[in-house]
Amino acid sequence: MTPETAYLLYFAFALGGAGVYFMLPRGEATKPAVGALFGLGSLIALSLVLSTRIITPDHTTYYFYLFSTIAIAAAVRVITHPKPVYSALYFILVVISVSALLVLLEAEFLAVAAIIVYAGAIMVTYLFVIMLAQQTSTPHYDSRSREPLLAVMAGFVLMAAIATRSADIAPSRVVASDARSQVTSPVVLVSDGATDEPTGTINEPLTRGNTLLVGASVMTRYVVVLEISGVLLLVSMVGAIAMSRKRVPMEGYRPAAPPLGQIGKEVEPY
Amino acid sequence: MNSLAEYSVISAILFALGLVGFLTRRNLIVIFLSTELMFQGIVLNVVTYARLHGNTDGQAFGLFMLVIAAVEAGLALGMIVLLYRRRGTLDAEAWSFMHG
Amino acid sequence: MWEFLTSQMGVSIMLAAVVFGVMQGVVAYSIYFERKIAAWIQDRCGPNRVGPFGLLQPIADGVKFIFKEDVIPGHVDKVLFVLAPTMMFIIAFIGLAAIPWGGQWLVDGKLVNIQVSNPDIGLLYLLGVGGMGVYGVVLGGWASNNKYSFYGAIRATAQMLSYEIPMGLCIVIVVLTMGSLRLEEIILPQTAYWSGAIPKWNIFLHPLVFLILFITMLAEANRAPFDLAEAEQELVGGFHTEYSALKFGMFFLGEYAHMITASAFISVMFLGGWHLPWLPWAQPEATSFAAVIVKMLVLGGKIAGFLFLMMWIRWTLPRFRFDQLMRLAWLGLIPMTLGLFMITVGLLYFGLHRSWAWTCGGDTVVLVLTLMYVAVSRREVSGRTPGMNVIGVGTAAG
Repeated sequence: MTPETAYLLYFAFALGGAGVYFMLPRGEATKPAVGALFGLGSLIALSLVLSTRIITPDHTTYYFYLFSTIAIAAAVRVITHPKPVYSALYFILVVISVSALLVLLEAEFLAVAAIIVYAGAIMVTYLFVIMLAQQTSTPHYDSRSREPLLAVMAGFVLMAAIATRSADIAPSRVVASDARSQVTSPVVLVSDGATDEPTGTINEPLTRGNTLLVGASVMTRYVVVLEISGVLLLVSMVGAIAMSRKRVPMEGYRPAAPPLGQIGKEVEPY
Repeated sequence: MNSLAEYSVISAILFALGLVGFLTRRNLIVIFLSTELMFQGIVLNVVTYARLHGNTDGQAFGLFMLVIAAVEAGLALGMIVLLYRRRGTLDAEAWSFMHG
Repeated sequence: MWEFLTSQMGVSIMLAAVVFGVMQGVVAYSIYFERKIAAWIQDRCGPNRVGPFGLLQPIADGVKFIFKEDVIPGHVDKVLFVLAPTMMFIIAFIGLAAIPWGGQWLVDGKLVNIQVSNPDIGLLYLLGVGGMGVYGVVLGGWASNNKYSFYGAIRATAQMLSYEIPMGLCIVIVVLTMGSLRLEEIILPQTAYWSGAIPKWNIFLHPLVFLILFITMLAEANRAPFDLAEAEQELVGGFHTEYSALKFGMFFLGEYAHMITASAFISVMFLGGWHLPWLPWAQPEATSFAAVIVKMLVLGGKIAGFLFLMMWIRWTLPRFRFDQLMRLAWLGLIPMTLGLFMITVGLLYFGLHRSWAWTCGGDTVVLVLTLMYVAVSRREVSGRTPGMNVIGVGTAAG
């Protein structure tokens, strides 16, 4: 990465930080429109930086720009929207667009698994809790942030640090020279001879049997991790039930039912 | 074809945005949503590197990360319901006893 | 132009347009047929005023939906109030993208899939889309800012989360049996025959799994006897109490589209999709255009059969009470599917997962154990306990 692109990247992050600062809920001082303007500038600068990393644009490039724009915009709204329900919905948008990016990275199985787990299960329970706890009015703690300036500075400096290093990836070991991942799967990974040469591109798609490969990897090399995650889920289930269960009264205790005339009178169970 | 660096940059952005949300927001639910956002960034990152190395280890890790996210959501929501019952508010500041 | 139209891309685009267009009509007319079937079951006439046999009734309904005043009450969350029916409608329709409608078409010497998209993970895609189906109901109920709607939304959430578990386990059992997540590859082994006569449809391998999957599909589609989210005796209209005109119509269409998607899905998984035994056009070898049309008709017939079954059930069975609904899922279907799952895994280890006698034996074992448990269990199946506070029964009985 040349110094010019690095400075452009920093500029993009500075703009983005300003945008997020203006959009974060700060009571009357919130200026979402100004923030959105800064954010737009930041996205344009970022796409300029990223376009230097793209060697030959093809259709995946356009999909990448589309879905990453949606992902970033929705992620900003997740952390800045004053209503938690909207935050949760924007998070679903983030999940869907990240899943699209995963599909572009040929991880279809993980993409759909993420949608099923996040959008299908986790976010429904989040919405459930939000709806139980909060009705439509916005309480004061949702329209004020803690230390927005310092947090934005810390977060965006971290972002710049990670992103600058990440943008320097030279794909030196591109295609599967890693024999361990071939395990017992019948599908042979694509491998061409020139793996040592940093070409700057990824040449071949991995394979079509993505589910098969992930399954083989999970069930052979990482089988212990799989077992442990099963135990973890069990522990979480027990913990969640133990924490949130209602205190049930003792056996035989019955609250008195209010007399409602005929309705509510005791009858023999049939 | 792309060089995959841009996917990594996107994942860094998602992670850092999640961090900002975690630090600034005061609603317990939004705080946990921000951690889920950080998880999304990490999953994207490991899958990017898996693609770079041409194997599926990163995808396996991503799958385990989904498990962790589910575990975290279950416990966190249980905890939020408990805290909400105690105080009747989702404000994280309501629990800062030691804060001067 | 012909080149493009006969490529996979062109066929996919055309098929998407055709399926979307045809489904609008099918959904509208399934509402008409539901009313006719209800009338038939209740010994009435049903809609018969608009056009011959009332056939223009759906068009009249549609015109009414469009031209009625579209009320957005003042106390609702406006964005979500509009978003909810839209989400319901879209999510019900995008599931159709992965359904294999007509096998393969041989055109200009190359085979084209009659399927909008043939992803490696077709089954999981359908599962994911099904899981998103709850959002329309939940958001609609919450955005209405109305207690009845909110109760409907909460019921729908709990119900869908509970019934997704047995549904997922049923799907996993089919995946274990078939060894693929690709819908075409799930159909192809089903087109063979046992002793040259009986097709190897999965319904013969796992009748109990088929039954459980059908039940969970009814619950996921919010159909009677699982339509607690809109139980009009208790909750006025449930989650769509505040909705009117076009937005209510979208909820309505979404529900029927969901039924159609579920029927197509279960036909593919258990009834061989477009396959019909002994009909030469409905075999995998037949790839002419006529064969494609016949296969589509065969799948359409199976879908129609399921739709009729769902309507028949709706107008025959009473609605569950909520605790019965939950107990059916957590104490009935989930243990049963877990048992079936473990039996299938065991059979898979010995390579017996596609032998009829073993799989049916496994289903029978699970069924017999369940019935024995119900017989010896001291709890009533209806969930009634001796100390239960029964409200309203006194007046009804007296």
